[in-house]
Amino acid sequence: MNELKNPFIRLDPADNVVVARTEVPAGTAVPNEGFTTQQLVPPGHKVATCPIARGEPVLKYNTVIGFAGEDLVPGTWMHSHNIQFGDLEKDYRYSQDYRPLPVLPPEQRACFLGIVRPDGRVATRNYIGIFAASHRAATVVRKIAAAFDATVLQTHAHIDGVAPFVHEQGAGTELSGEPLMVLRRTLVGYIAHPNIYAALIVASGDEDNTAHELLEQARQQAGDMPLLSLNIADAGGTRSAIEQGVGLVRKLVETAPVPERQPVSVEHIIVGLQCGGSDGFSGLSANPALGAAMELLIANGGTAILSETPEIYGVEHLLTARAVTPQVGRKLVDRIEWWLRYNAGRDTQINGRVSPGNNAGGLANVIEKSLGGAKKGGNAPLMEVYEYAEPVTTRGLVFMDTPGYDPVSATGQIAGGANMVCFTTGRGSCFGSVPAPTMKLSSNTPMYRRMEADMDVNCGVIIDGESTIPQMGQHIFEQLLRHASGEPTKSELAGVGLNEFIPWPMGVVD
Amino acid sequence: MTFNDSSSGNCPEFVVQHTGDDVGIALRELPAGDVLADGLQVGTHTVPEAHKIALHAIPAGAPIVKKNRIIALATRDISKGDWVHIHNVTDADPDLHVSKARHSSDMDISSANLPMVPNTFQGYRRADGRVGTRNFIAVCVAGNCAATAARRISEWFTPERLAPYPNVGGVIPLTHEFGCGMEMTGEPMDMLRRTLAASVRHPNVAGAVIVALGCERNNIYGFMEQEGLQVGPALQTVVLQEVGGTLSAVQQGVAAVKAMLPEANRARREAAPVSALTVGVMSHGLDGYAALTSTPAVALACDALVQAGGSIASADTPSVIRLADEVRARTITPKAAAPLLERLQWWREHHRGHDTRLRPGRLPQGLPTGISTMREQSALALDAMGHTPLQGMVAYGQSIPQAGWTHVDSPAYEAVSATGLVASGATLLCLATGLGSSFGAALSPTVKLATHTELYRRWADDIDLDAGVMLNHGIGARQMAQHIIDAWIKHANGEQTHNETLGVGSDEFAPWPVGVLA
Repeated sequence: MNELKNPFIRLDPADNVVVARTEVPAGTAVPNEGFTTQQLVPPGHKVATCPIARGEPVLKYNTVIGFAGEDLVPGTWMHSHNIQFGDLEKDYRYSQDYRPLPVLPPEQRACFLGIVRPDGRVATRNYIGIFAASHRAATVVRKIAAAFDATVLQTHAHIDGVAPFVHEQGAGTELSGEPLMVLRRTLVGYIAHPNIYAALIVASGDEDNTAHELLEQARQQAGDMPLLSLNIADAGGTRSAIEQGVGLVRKLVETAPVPERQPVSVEHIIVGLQCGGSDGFSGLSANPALGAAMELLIANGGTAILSETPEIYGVEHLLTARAVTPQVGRKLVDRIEWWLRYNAGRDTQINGRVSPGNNAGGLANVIEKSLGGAKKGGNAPLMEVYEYAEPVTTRGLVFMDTPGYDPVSATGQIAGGANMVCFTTGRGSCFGSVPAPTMKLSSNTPMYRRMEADMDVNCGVIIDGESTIPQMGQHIFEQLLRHASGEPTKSELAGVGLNEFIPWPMGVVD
Repeated sequence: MTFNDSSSGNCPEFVVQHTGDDVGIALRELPAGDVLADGLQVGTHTVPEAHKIALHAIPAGAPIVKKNRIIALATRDISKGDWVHIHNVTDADPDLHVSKARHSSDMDISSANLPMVPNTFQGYRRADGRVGTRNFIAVCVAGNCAATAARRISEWFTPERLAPYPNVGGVIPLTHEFGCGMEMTGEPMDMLRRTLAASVRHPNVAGAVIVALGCERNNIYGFMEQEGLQVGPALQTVVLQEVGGTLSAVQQGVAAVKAMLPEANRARREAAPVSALTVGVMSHGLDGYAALTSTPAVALACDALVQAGGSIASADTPSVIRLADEVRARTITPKAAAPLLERLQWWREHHRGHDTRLRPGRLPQGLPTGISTMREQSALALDAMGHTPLQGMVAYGQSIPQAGWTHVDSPAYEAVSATGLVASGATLLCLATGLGSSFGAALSPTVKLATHTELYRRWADDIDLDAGVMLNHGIGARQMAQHIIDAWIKHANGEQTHNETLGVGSDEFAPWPVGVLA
């Protein structure tokens, strides 16, 4: 049988399952593999290729993703009902597979059109940001920003937007410790982001995340950028605060220089890697293709941030083995262990159960999801491990600890300096982000066709046999550079990104 | 100047709220060394307006009693006439339940003392018998991933587009930050689902559209099944992954809302018994003035509404924790008190190891004028609920089953507690503030009340009522309570509160996040 006509994809010779490209009816014979399907197999789901005894490991990509829940005959549909999530042996093999990825000399590196800031950092977009110190300032922030809609900015085309950054924290929160620190670090990371030309901080005047502290930290990290603040209580309430804020932002808009995009090295690109609404195809198409693109980016001096810590759980040993030093590998293991404590006793995915969408898409458990997810970083060595929203200063593939929850994760990456986000999806996420834009990669063609207005790249062509992973990697890399140079992504065209700023809420509400 | 609820000697410079109190409240700044009308000499430090003055010597470690309850402990010896504040007092250990019991019959609440409440108000009678004060269409999200689509749907309905439907108050987005990346089962999901469901079923909501991405952990179909919600003319769903993405979902959502408008517009206000009103009573930044102004006035308004058969609801469980003994004594039966007392244990666990205002010695946010301890502030919040017994507690977002005073378990933070009060059934909110507030809930009008006139003037656009007139114009608590009742009724009848006029509300829907992220 022609490989391309085989309704199943085999990922590794050692595997005892294969993955359905499309829905496969019961009773379909697959001579190459030597089985006939026993049940209907949904697209992206797996089938046993040989007898698997109860308790025997299930292998995908030659990695244990679980254990058979019962004795299974060849052709049996395999999913969360007969794959048990169990304890896995972990052999971290710190740095034993570390191989440096050769980076091109500077003069040979690819270029894109970036906006060079006075301090030498490079932006991919040019925004004015209005930041709420706490949830109490949210309405005022939104209404100030709303005064600068597309019509107003028509005469200032060099400004991509006046963006509100609101959230539900900062008041009625813990008074010291990690929750406030993380909130501040995230806000400061955004304020100081190269894609933010100027910022206005709005505070109510009585919150826990005081404007004073926030301004001080922002000044330290942001240097000379125009940075203003406004206090609603001092201004005399909502209406006055909005008026004053509009006046302040108008001045920022009118005095903003017109930046010229110039050819700069791709080494200035920092990509935040995300997957959301993953399905059984994500790990076969979009994630490995993105990984190939990231290897190209890294070879050209750039940086890729892998995150979503619960979604590499189960395959972290693949990353620790590629860590540049055992210390870096150990940091990753520390974060995993923190997560196991943070989520202990809770019905969350690190304890096995993935979301209903993941499950419907063919992912039996978090290990299988992680196996596919970790491919977003390709085979690049792991150069550093960062905490949430910490500034990313190392080049190459790095890891930033974040939840799996997409908006929170992307917010941390952007706070750390990501100026692009690449987001793979199987079920069809409609995510978008500001001030660093998100480009979305679909794992399968049917979803791409259904949701083309939200998708930037269709990696489903890999599943369809029409392209290879390296080919798509090159395609993604080239499109990434176009988006970094100013070409809007679908989510930017759809106006998505102003409700997705969610700093990691860590504490309890008072 | 007299105050209905202070029983002992008054003089123009300070007020003593109860016989046996250790402190009085300064009505104006009391300069150091001045000899006051009744012979009390101010100590070596000026006592600022609305702050406390010691009526006699208090040794270090002794409790400070104000309005017949312990609000603090002295941290050093205090002399008669001294300024009493954070420099010489601290919060009583919350486990030290030594409050002198206050009885609900502390005050005569016969009709002669209470403001008048009309028999009816003009509300929207719903099919299930509940009565709304507003008539909105809500666009709610199962998870954050649908938030942008939901906002764009609601924003499409500008005042011009709604003009043909004058009886529809607006199309309100109910977006939030959760719904995915969270615990799939257990309290966090149950609470979120309960809050969302109660919000779309609220008497102020004529129809709702629930928007979801499709793959979120708060799966829309699971959610609707768990909450007994069914698609129909007044409840529609839009799933982005089913309809082809953001733009398509916005189109479909707009169409779904449009289809609901004619029927929603047929709703008319009609006379409904005032007993159908549920007022959520809240506060933000109560200060030293509140003891003399907003608290006694709101208390009488609450008493009047309860006497007329209506419901009042408190939020802010931390305040209950600080005065647990007193609250237990005020609850109608031990059986009714049991769930509340059990829940207090959950709170202690939930906050253990976290640096929150439940830690003894922590100060109120913004440190309002003249407030020295959290306990002092919490007492002002609780006193504002009036003199009727507490009927019981409901969980956050759970329907209030009875008339009278019910406590809705929630944090103090106003956006989160208001979201719970509304979900539990509040059709009007009343928020007293000493610091100023822009707040207004998404679905129920919020009547805001300043504790003092200078604040009211500074926040004139945001705050509806000035309780400071009780200090400046000799208006008594009963008369102020009448102003409050009148305001509640007129806003329930449709007049916009300041927050509604300013368009504050669509960012204030904030379900209580109790879990961890995943």
